[in-house]
Amino acid sequence: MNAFDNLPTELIGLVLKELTGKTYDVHDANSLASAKSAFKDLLSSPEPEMLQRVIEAILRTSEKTESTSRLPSVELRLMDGPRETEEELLEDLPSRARPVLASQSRTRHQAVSPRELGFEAPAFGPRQPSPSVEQWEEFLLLAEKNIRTLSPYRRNERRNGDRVVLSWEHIAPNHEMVEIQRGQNVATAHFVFESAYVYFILSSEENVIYHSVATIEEADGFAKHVIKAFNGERDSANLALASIREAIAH
Amino acid sequence: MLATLKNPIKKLPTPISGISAEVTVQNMKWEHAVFWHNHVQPLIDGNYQHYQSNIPEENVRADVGWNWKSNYLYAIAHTCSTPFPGNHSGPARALIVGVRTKQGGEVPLGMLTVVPKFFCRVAATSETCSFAWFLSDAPAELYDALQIQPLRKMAMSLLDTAIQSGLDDGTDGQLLLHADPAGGKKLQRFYRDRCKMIQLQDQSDPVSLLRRTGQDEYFYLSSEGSRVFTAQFDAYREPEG
Repeated sequence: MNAFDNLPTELIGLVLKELTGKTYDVHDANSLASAKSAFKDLLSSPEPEMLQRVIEAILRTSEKTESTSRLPSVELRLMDGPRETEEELLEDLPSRARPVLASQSRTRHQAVSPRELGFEAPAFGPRQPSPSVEQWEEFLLLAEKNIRTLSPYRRNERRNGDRVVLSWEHIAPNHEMVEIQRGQNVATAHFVFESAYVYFILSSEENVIYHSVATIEEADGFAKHVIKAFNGERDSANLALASIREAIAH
Repeated sequence: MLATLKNPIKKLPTPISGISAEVTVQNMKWEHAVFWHNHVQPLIDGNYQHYQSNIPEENVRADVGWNWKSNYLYAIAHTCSTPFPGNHSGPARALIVGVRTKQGGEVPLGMLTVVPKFFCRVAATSETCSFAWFLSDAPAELYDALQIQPLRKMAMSLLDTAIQSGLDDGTDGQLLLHADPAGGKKLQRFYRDRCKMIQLQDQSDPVSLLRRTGQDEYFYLSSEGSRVFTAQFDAYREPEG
């Protein structure tokens, strides 16, 4: 480890001032080199007490001079990865982040399990029969009732070969995610709740639920409605349902 | 400037099968330690406890009360002391596994200090092994605060990072660490069962000159064991596919 490359030079200067009384101009190359040498001598002292003094001085100075920054904005860049079994997905999560699977008892947010409503299509896998309007209605109603903790979604876009993959990331604690894959003639959207998968398929294939999606923008808009519906906005739930009804009618 | 690892993990799995998220393994900067101290440690200290027999395991973390600014400085101090006569270990490294921010920086989700060439009496085939000194993975509460999905295998990726740093320094991949008793049986089970590490016997020889007690709190991965361990991340070393 190059000891000082990643330590702020101002911090080094302030600590040296406190411990040795000497002032170093850390913006001057020669003075900075002297400061680093003096600092290294302090830190490599064979006396544990001296080392402790130096560390305490750094911590104290740091507390005095550094302001607490805001939490930065992070956007996960999602990509394909190895497929795993449901059992594997339960392993190696951070403490308390265990997802609730349909087969398990509900905890935390008492989120509805979409599988119990007949949503069984695996992500990117074979298509399953689409849910009926009634199932959607029931689902959205339960979603509205159960899931009220969403924050505004964030949309990511990435290219994977000739596919454009859009994902709408939500938001712990529910871990919802909406992803729409739009390939040459297929657009697929799936929603994920607490790692129990809710899918709706936007596709030009036979077993579609919303085959009028032609553009990413339309898919985006549709997903937005559904997400808002999940967030307890009744108008959006109605709009999403209207879209579904329309799609099925076609 | 110290190079980053030659063969780092580049993505980690999310809770959704087939979907991973890009991560970056970087040398720790002071600002990373400050971030952890200001934003993450309060979540750990406020939501978790050290092991006691009467508290649920999910509430237990060994790193309650840690100060990563201190841990970082210990790593620097260790490095400064390596020229001393009798100190056969190499310099320490401090690394993070993190994700990029929109502003172009990194947010650490895992923190590690490691002595990649630690002189010890445990290594079977050489005198040195990689010693994972301090490591912390982000609690679920940080993912909530950042509004991102939790990443899986973060703690294991830190062990992989420790092994890779040893390999980069010319060791044969052996890994040693001390399981803080404050992590209780849960932490020991993690190293033993999930990571397939060997728990040393209490009667074992001291692992090093200065680490002479509590031998059964140390866990060891042989060269062969580390090959098996790191192989599980091979698919995560490529950014795509």
